[in-house]
Amino acid sequence: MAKRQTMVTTREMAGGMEFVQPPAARALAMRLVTDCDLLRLKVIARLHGRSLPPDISWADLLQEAFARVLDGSRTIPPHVPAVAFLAGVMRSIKAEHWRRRRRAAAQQPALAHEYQVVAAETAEACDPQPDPERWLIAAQQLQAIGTLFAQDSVALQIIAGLGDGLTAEEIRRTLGMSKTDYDSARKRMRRALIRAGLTLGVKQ
Amino acid sequence: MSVRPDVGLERLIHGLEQELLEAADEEFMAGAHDLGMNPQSRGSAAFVGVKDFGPQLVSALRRACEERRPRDVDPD
Repeated sequence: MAKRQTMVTTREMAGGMEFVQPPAARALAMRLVTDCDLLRLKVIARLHGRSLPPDISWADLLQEAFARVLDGSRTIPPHVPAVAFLAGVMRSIKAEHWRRRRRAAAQQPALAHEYQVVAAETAEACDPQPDPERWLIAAQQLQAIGTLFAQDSVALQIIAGLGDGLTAEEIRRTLGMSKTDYDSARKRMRRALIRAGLTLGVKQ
Repeated sequence: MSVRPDVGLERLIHGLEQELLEAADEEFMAGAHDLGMNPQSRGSAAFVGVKDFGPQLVSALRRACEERRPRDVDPD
């Protein structure tokens, strides 16, 4: 089946008045995933949703990932857990979205040029041209994630390390933490993430 | 964080995603229970936006219905 060019947003679905069972529910009925897998994927979708613009929700991202697997445009390879694969599909959809935005932004050369004057000072030389909207969303969401762990100074240090691209071992060595302390901090972080990912509300 | 925000956020999300992929099922169930949700019950709030249409879709559908309503009304 041909790959869809656009993400199915809630708005588009509403415009088409498509009252169908959501793809995630269909996948559950087909036993592709379990209830617990759905909880895990919801939390992961909300995490990924943090780096999407507000007009696309985490639910759009999640359902689109399931839709692509169900319609055969993405096939789960043998021996790859469905949850890990679906998380990868969400990452891919997100990257696809920002690539489209970048192409659209290229049609606004004046804005892009003005932005580059500011951005060039802090950008990594090897990275592609940053998107101003993406930059802003990312800055806000980094702050939001920081707020989520505001009471946990160790978690904040781990977050900074992850953001810098360090591995768990590198973070542990840099912070001079024992494996037990590090694992304990990770457990607290997971708990906070899961709570944030399952809580009710439209906002991510 | 010593990198651009968008780069840092993606790296952070990737790292946290790995944590969530490695977490035990029990941690998710416990998280739901902490919030007063029972994922084992039918229609649990834990699955809002997953098994049913999310709040944004419900809101969008409501708007779409409202926008259509005036056209459906017979002017006579």
